Amino acid sequence: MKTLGRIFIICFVFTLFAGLMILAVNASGMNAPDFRGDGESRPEFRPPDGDVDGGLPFLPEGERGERGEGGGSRLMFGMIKNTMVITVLVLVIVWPKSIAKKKRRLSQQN
Amino acid sequence: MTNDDSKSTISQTRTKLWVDILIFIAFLIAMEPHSSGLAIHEWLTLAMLGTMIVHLLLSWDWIIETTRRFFGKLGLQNRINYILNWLLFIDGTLLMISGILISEVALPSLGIQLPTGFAWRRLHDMSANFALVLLGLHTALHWSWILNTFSRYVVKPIARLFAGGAKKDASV
Repeated sequence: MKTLGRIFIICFVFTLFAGLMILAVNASGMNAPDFRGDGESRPEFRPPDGDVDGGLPFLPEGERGERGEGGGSRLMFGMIKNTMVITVLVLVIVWPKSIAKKKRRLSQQN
Repeated sequence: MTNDDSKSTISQTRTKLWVDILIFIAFLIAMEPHSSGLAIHEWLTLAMLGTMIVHLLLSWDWIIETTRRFFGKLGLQNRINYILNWLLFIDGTLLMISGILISEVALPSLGIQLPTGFAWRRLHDMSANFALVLLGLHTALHWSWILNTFSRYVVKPIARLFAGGAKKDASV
């Protein structure tokens, strides 16, 4: 029962923040279809001549849900890259702290 | 602390370690939607919502205690940690809600169609990059806990296993 109450609180706070964010984005007009904000409406998308199915205006195949060729190696590369970013941040914070701790310990011994 | 209490704390710490490792790996996979595919990206992150709740439940006592003491006596590191955790929660909420609003696989497969907007796509990218930085800082601030717990529940049991095997070999 206690756990259920806590889950309810977490979900409530999550929903509260989510609602506030949706309200803020809608109120700011950032989400309007006219994204340039110059008052003109966006030109309608027209597929190029000879394109039977209309094509995709945004991303090529492989970037819209399907795994493109070399997805596994690209995934590994991406994961390593992000791990490196986190490692650098950890090093930047942990290293000076551990050096300071060692110095303090040494000064206490002397 | 009774024997049962200490057993429960050990089991909670172990669970927390494995949940955190799971979240970390899932986050790294989720950060690469172009390589993993949109379906994996969306379903994995929706599942992560559940593990995040477990993560928060396992840290519940710390959250309540620090909230109570935030405006009173509290160490600087705990204070920074608390603010950072709130930022991570808010950013995670933005990441999740923008992801739900621009969903192309998971929600449509459940028969839910939401009006999409350009802003949510941009906010999703921005909050994902920010989350990577915040996760790095979160990891850094908990580094000693990670090292100690990993050593206690992963490295030492494995070392004991090998030591046990070596002893058996020596006795034979």
